[in-house]
Amino acid sequence: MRLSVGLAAAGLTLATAGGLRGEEPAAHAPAYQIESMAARFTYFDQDGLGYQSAAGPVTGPGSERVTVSEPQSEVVAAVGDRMIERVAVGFDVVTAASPNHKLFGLPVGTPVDAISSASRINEAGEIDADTTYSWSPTTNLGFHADYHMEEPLESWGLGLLVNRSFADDNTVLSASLYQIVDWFDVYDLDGKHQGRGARSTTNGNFGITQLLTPTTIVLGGYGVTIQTGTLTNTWNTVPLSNATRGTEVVPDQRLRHAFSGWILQWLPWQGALKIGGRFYADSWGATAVTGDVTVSQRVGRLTIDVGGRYHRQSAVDFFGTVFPPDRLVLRTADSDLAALRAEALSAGLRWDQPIGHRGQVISFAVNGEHYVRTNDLHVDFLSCAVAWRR
Amino acid sequence: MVPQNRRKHLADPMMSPGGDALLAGAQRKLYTSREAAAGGDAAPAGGGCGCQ
Repeated sequence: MRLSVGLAAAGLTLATAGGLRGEEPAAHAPAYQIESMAARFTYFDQDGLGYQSAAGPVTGPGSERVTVSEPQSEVVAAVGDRMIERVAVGFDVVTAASPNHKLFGLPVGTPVDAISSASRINEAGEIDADTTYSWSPTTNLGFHADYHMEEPLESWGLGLLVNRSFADDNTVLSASLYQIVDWFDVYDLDGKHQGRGARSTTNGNFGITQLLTPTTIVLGGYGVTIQTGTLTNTWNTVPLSNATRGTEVVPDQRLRHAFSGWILQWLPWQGALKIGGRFYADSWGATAVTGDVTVSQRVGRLTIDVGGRYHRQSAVDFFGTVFPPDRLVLRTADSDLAALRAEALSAGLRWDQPIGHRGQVISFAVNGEHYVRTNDLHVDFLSCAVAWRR
Repeated sequence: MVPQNRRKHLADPMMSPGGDALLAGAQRKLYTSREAAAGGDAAPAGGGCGCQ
């Protein structure tokens, strides 16, 4: 689930940036100082079948084979004594992603699909910038901006965040608001370009972080997301009962709710236990529960992480694997929107090597994960990283 | 109330809920692009990429 990432950003920024340790800003902080840098490379290898894919029998599921190579980098810098700036850049090199056959001059009529020969390779890039400003010893303000680009799509995002601590930093309340606008090419199923589509995503979140004991933290959160516009990727297909394929048709609005909670427990043998749970429901009829557990253990300079994740969801109301050809009703055969269970096991190793005499550390990390879905999809995930921090 | 001088373990990096931000981002992408239940956890869903 790893859903704590956002919650942590919202709720614990203050805590980890000094509030938890009760530190005041440095009296003579440098005007600009790099605090950390990191580079990571991740490789996803996916295989399976899905009815939305036309790369198979007309009436049956098609291949969802895809690989993704994802290099990422991140720099975190202190600007003066009140501001932290984080900039992250990532690229995705995806085999079999979005339709780009127009660009390569392939004939109109080539099936537009996630694995068609027309979309053999797709590149995407994104840049994220997060600024955290310490307004007062108890209040942090945050600003987020991102831009994402891939061949058929551009996306812009903005976010605002505020968190405030109470009771000598024992409690942190947070609120955040994000707005994303996507703008993309619309293709019909024979590959013809049908102008541009757009979608809007508005997201609000509330979170609380509470120190329970000297070894226990609990977090809770609620988030609501409203999406409007073209909510299909426009090239997903559905099998029809007359042995042809039709266009996926989904509502032009979606309201999503998510409740989450985490407990973080320090273990006396230099370890940590994290247990999380999440409940989700949306206006398309999907509900889901997710559980996540991670155990970390430090052995000298080595930190070992082992985790497990379980996810179960119901299908959206209009999911099916075959539809009548004569009516244009709400319909999807997207296996991601089906009833399913997903299980994942993960493991990671990180070596922290001190360098110099000022507490600087270089870290080397390797992470792996095996993700399996009950409706015939599995993903192997391998990632490695090197990082430096002051 | 947990006094500040007893928060040593809570400030340990292993107790960070988010952990490594780049790793967390990659894992989030793994889940949110393959499940219907993304979003709402201080992170928007369904926007910002070609997936739904």
